[in-house]
Amino acid sequence: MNRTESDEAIRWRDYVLLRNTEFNDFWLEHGNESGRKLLFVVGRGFDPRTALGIEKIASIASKCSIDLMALEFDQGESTAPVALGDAVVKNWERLQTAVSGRGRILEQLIRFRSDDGHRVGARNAANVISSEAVIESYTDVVVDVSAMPRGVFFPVIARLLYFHDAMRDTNKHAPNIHVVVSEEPELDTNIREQGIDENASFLHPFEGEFNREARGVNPTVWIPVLGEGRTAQFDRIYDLVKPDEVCPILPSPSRNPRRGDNIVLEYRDLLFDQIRVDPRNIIYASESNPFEVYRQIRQTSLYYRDVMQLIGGCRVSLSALCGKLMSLGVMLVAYELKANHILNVGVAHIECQGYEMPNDLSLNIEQVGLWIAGECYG
Amino acid sequence: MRDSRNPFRLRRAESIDNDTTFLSLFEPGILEIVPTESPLESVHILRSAAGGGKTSLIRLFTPSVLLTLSSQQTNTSIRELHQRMKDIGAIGDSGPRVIGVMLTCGRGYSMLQDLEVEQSRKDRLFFGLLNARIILAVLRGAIALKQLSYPDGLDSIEIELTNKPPSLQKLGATCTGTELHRWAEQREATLCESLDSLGPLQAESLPGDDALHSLDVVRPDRIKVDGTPVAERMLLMMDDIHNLTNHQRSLLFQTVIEARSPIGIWIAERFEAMTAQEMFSSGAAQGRDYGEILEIESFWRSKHAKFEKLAMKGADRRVQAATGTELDSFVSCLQDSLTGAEWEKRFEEIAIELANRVQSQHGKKERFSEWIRIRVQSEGSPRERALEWRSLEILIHRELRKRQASFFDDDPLDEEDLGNREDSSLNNAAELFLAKEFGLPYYFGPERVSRLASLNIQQFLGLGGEIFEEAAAAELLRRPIALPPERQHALMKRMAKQLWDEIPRKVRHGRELRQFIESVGNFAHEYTYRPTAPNDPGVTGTAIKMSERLTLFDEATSKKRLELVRLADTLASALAHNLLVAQLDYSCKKEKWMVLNLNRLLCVHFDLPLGYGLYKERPLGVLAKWIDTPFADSNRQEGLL
Repeated sequence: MNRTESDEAIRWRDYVLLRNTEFNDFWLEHGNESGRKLLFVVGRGFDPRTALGIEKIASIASKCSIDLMALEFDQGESTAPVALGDAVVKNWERLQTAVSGRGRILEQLIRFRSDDGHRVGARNAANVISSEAVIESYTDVVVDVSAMPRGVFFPVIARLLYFHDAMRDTNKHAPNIHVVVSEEPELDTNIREQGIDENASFLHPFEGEFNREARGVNPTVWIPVLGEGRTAQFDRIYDLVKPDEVCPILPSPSRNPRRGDNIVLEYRDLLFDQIRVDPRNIIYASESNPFEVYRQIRQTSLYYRDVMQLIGGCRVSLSALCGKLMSLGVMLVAYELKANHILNVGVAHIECQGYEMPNDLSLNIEQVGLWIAGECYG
Repeated sequence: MRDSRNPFRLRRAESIDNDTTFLSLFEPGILEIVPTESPLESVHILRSAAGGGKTSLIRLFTPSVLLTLSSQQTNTSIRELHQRMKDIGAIGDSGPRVIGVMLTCGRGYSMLQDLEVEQSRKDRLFFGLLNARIILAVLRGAIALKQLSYPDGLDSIEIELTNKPPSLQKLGATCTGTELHRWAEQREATLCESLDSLGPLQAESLPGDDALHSLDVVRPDRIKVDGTPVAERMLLMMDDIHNLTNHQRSLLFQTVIEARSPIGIWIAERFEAMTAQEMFSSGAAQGRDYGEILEIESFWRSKHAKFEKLAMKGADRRVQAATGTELDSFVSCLQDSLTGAEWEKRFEEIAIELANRVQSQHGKKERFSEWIRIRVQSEGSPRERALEWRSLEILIHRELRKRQASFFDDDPLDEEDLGNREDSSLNNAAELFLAKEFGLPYYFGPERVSRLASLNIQQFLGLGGEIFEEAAAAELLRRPIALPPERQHALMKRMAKQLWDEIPRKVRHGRELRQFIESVGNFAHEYTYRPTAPNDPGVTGTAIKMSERLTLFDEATSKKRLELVRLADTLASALAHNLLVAQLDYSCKKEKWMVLNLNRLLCVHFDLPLGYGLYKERPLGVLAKWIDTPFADSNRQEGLL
């Protein structure tokens, strides 16, 4: 009998997604409960959203203790413009101020490159959460991904979920895991990656079946979530994945109703002339709901798995060429399918040397919170 | 199979989902790059920038493609290819003679180097994983070649295990493909699952090997089906070696060379795998340790006319493969001259303007009166006369510059003097100057478009795709198919701009690199467009002395001069991406030079000619400064050094 989606419980069928006032209300109540002790994990980046999450939560949940784990990124050969370096310093001052008198500050350096220049950032990021002991004394761990690259927050959140699940399964106290994003789709679009790596790779710990020669005979399905300004990345990831079938995901509904169409226009040469994607393969998912992205990818992946089972199975690769919020959907599905041994999907990804951001951006930021593991899930 | 509206967009071998289409698009002449001496036996190293054609070449030797080639040998579009593959020894009258096994080496090796264990342990894990993958790939190749089903067909394969390595001791002296496959699959799974685990890695108990034993296991005479070897030869093609760490890459090279295996081994990598030092000494090791190092772009550089011809033939194949069009050749998409009444009129105006300019500026100088008289009496076409006047103007500037050096040489110049000074390079310079001054199209026609490929197939397909797109649209709208020169010129300019704009985003050290290239381009532009047109028709790059090149890698010097380390990294990045093309040991002025020419498409960005080899040298220190302090036209003093 074929396995179908209904055979496997959908981990995030019911979920907690909070925006603006809901976000504030939640942290007012949850954060001020007696005995709450937070570990707040944040990137020490240039992104103007770096300190917004912790400033908001620290001011609302004024009674709880907050330890700050600040991840500093050593790009190895960064070519970041000076202006961005100044932004990093200012953001760091704001982070320190936000938790002043509330707890400890733990600084962690993540090296992105090995001595001979190879990418090691994802593995080093995962190892920041080296054991259960790192999180066992907290009631809640909050990861603010606003100023973290995907190569960092994917492995960090995956490791946190892994330890959470292991602790829960052995009846230990497992802290709640939250993710917060200061969302501004325009900003994600305007931050342009510079010096993109020559080669894409599969992101640790989501290499999936792609590091297995023994699975090389199986056809490959690639599900990239598309966003603006990432055609070069798309091209190079395609080179890595060499898919037999491509199912691009476009943002819809979205704040700008034409956004999906604009993205198709930008990628049209790649999608329709080079790769020759069947337009019926295009999938739509809400730009503001990562759980919707998760559900769409999950459904598509399992559909292909079941259909391809007839010819010996398939390999599924995902890619997040989109903003932070939609990327989280990719991470959640990759984690769930791997951790529950449902399907070992890969996450194909490409890093860059640095970023460029226009100075004159007016920000219209919305605080979004995802409670992804813990008490609310029973 | 999905039809292709514009087959030029299928730039990668992997995008072509069907072996028959792949074969029909493959231009047989490209096989000239295959090593001539024992191509299928010894170790060969293939290098190129991205898009150089390595993966297409490798795909050609894989079992399914060889089987298709053998079965369709009467197909006219692949007959020549069949014969060439027969000459190489890959196929015979009765079918493929070689198992071509493609092994992509991008997966998970580099992370082994970062484990917190001893180096010898890392090497054991590296060999352990590689052995498993080689065996898996070979078994799969054998199944494909024998057209057996996978995995059931593995039972039909028999492997003789003489000199069994320690890790295979549990298998008998002869085992089935299923047994060996199971061993390799388990080995790979154990390693990969641990390396990619969601939790912390436990590396202590992982299996490994001391050497590349698999090369001995997969010898062609030891893998049989029904008692007969599956093929006469085995060719292991290891692609994407640039993904290995430097240590792993060196270890692999050393091991396969020392193994002296009867298996043919091709190691394919992009230039970016090479250290800056290797990059600038590439070719020097040729024939020393390996069968042959084949650098694809370097190979074609000495035969660029042939490459350009092959590129055009390849383009014809793509045009013929297109659906929804009746175009049958790429050349038919391109007008190759500025002819017609409108151009006649335009050139007439230009010729008159130039004649007036030369006569007003130099008409009273007795030294040039005979030259001017000859030009006035010329009866050529308007275009010829415009070119004659412009070349005369260049010659006059040269004479005037010479006179500044010699006060005594003031005799009138005659027709013979003029004839002695005119040549095709001068005419080419005059054409370039005319195009620039009067806004005429220059980058058009089959010859120039194919040259803009810069010896890189992928770059050529990008350009060809744009041209084909417009020609096909014109056909649909029932307009003239051949693109007029001004439209071709505009398209090439647009593609050049696109390449230029993408450098910071797509290339490592992109910002510095683009700044450096901008200086090289501006310097070449300034030098080319001097009134005397020195080094006609113009320079397309710069050069440093070979002795200075050594300074770039001298450890003692680089510790003191960090700007040289930056320059070396910048140059290496430029060469890896084919943005600059290096020619080593070029002899000129009793010196040896390392010539750095711009990618031909970047020449378009700087309005430069497209010839190969012409350059104007600069000292090493000046090049290092160009990364931060761009060369500017006004910086004439530096230009005259």
